[in-house]
This record gives sequence, structure tokens and C-alpha cells, in this order.
Amino acid sequence: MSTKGWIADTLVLFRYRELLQRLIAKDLKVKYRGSYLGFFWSLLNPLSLVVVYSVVLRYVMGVREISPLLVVTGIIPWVFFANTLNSSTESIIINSNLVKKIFFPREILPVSTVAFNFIQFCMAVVVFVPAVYVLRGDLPWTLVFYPLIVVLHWVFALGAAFLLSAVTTFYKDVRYLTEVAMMMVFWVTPVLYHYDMVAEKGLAVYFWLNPFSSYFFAYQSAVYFAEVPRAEHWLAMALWSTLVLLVGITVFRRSRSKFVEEL
Amino acid sequence: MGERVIDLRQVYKSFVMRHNRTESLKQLFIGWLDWRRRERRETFWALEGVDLQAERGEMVGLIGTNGSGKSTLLRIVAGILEPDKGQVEVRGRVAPMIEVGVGFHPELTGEENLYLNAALYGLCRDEIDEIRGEIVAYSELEKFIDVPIKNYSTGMYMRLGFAVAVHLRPDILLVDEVLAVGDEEFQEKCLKRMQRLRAEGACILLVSHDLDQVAKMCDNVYVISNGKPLFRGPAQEAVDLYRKKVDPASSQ
Repeated sequence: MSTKGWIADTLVLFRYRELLQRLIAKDLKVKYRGSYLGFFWSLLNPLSLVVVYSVVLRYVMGVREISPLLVVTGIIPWVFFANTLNSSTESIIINSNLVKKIFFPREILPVSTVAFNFIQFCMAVVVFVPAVYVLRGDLPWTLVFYPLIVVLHWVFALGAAFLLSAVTTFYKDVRYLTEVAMMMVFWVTPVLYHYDMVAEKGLAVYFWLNPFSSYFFAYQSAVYFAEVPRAEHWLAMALWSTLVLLVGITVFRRSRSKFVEEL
Repeated sequence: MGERVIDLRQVYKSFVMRHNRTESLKQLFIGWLDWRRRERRETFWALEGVDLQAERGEMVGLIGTNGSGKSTLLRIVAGILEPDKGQVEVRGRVAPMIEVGVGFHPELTGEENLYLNAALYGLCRDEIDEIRGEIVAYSELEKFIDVPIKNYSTGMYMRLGFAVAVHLRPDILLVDEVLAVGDEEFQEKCLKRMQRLRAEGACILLVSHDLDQVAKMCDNVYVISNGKPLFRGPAQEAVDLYRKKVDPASSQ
């Protein structure tokens, strides 16, 4: 596991950048070509979740702390993050015909899955910013931290995609396990509730055990509370993103030569 | 010419055959309870001590019965599989044609598939732009290049896939039985093109069951039987030996 090997791998990826672009373009075209509303469908899912959670939690169940703004803040990053992890489990096995018949750097496949979802997330943010303006009445200056949180969050997603795509190649269950796990993670992660609600109940400590939580605390600070995200959340994000990426790449590199025989 | 581009020495490749393969957690648990349904592994040697050398401008044939290890050998040259043991040296751009049109997506147009397919072989945008015109002209698809290939006939699909592979300017072209699916006209065209590539200095490795074709076109031919090298030498001799010893039924 030498640094030289890592650098060489990154250079090979660069040489294959045309392939990466083509795979992403293929996914986008296949998804939207022939549909009238096109990209709007990708927004409909998070938008409907915002409406449902806001109405049900606040007005039906009477949770006063829940507001559409809080839901928007958490749901938009969550939906695209969860989609990435769920679809990354399949990124090798769904392309088995390519992997078996041509040699190309296998890393391209999970990377293209992540990039495909990231592009859709970015398009959603274009709609998300005006929504924040409408719901808040202004745009907080702390939004300048938003891109940095996004980068850390998607580094995490990339690492997880390497890990999940490699492991699923050997154990197909991981695909279904991931779906169930993500559904549970959704409720134990502060997507719909914020830090103060957790701290009040003395539960803050548990959220240190949850690798997914610091990102959402930070999103809420920057968007909902108009505060600078806390130092400990920056630290947690940096640590988890680095760790997940390193583990993901290591597992992927160790197992990639066996993919062909498993498919 | 004469520069060696493929050099495989004493290559061994095994596959693990898994009976009652544990692919899911359920099967793993069942295996703990019931030994008869536990995963058993058996090692199967697909290649045992195979050598393969080929030079620029050479057309090398590979013959053997089904399951003799020809495709495994081709995949090792292509870098898709790694051998367990042995030395593998391959120089230059390899264009494996294990299947024509790998990665073609039915919803994309001919043009989009052309770029995707060429990119799979590691070309960058400029390189593809440069050969795009030649590919379209060669495949005779000028009028249909902006049509989704789900509307293509099998022939059109094959022409496009083959056109991409041969226009990559490969140093080594690997051809695995793909010609067998086309009609005579298509085959004729492909063979002509392969001869041209070879004249330009490419090395071609041809796996085929068409023994007469192999005898006619190849310089050297390797005969493989059950993963072991049986013979290597001039094409006609190799084909005669194959007909006599390996597969007597084929001579009728």
C-alpha cells in the first residue's frame, strides 16, 4: 500500500477522464431523455418529503420545533446522500458486462455514481437557495460555509461508495442491508431535528457515535441558525470523511482484482 | 516490425469453483446448520504453464476446444484477469474485442455510443474527435449516427462496434470469435480491415473455431488443450494436428 501506488492510480483516473464524463452523461441522458419534466422529477422527491414532514410533524403531531425551513435544510442533502449510498452498492455489479470484457480502472464506476448524484444535488441547491430566502426572509451570511460542508459530506459519500461497491460484489446482501440501514440512519441522524433538541434531552453524546450526524448539525448551523458551525463539528466531519475515504479506497484497491471472478 | 509486443511465460491461472456458493447471509447460516449445504471450494486450473509470444505485424491464432482456456488467456493479455503465476508483458494499446460494442446503451445515439465505447478503451476527447469521421464512414452509418441504437439492426450495431475497435490504432487487437456472428459480407470486411491493421504493424491475436480461416490467415498458431499448451508452430501444421488429435470430429 505505497503512496506511489495511490499516485499512479490517481493519474490513471485522470487519463480516463473522458470515460468518466461519458458515463455520467450516459446516466443523465438515460434518466431524463424522453421525460417531459426531466430534472424536475429529481426535485419532486425531496420537495414532497419537505411538505409531508412539515405538515405531519408540525401540524398533525404538534412538534412545534419543526418548521419547513428546518426540514428543507436537512432533507435536501439527505436525499441525495442516501441515494448515492444506495445506488453505489450496485455500481460494479450493474456494469459487470464492462468489467468482464474491457480493462479500465474500476474506480471509475463508483466515482461516476457519486458524481452523477452530486450533479443532481447541485442542481437541487439552485432551487434550494431561493426556498431558504422565501422561508427565512433573508439569506444568512453563514451560507458561505455551506460549500465547505458539502465538500466534506461528499468526500464521505465517495469513501462509502468505494467501500459499498466493492463489498457488494462479494456479498450481494449488502445492497439490501444498505437500504434498510439508511432508512434507520435517517431517524437517528439529525436530519429533521436540531442540536438543541438533542442536547436538551442529554442525548448529545450519542451523536458523537453516529458518523453521519456532524454534517447535519453543520448544515443546520449555517442555514437554519445563521451561526458559524461549531468547531467540534468541523473536527468530526474532517475526521469521519478522511477515515471513510481511506478505508473505502483501501478495501477497493485490495479487492478490485477479484471483481471479475465474482461477477 | 519484429518487435515483441506480447510475452507470456509459464502462465498459470486457477478459478475457484464454489459448489453451494455462499452469496448471501442466509446461505452462510444454513451452512452452519447443515454441512451438506456448506460451501465447498474446488480449484480448477484454466491455464497451466502456457507461453505466448507475438510480434508486431503478426497474426497469431489460438485454437482449442470449448473450455480449453483460450478466452482466459485472451483476458490475461487484455489485463482483465491477473494470472496466479507466471510472467506477463504486454506493450502498447490493447483493443480487446471479446464482444463487439461493449458498453453500448440502447437509449444513446450511435454517436454517443461511439464516444463512450472509445473512451472505455482509454482514449481522450481529442483522440476520439480525430477518428470519429473514419469510424462513421467505415461503418456506413452516416445517416443513422444520431439515432438511438435501440433502433439499429444487428448488422448496424455490429458494424459500429467493430469500426470503433479497429480505428483505435491498437498495437494489439484481440479478437474472440466475434466474427462468427456477422454475415459473410461483414466477415469479409472485417478480415480485410484486420489484414490492413497488421500491415500497419499491429499484432492480432485471433481466437476462432473456423479452422480454415485460421490456417489461411495466421502466421503462427497455438493449440491449447485443457489449459495446457499442446503445440505452437506454422498455421497449417497446427490445424492439421488439431484436427487429428484434439477434435477428430472437426475434420469431417
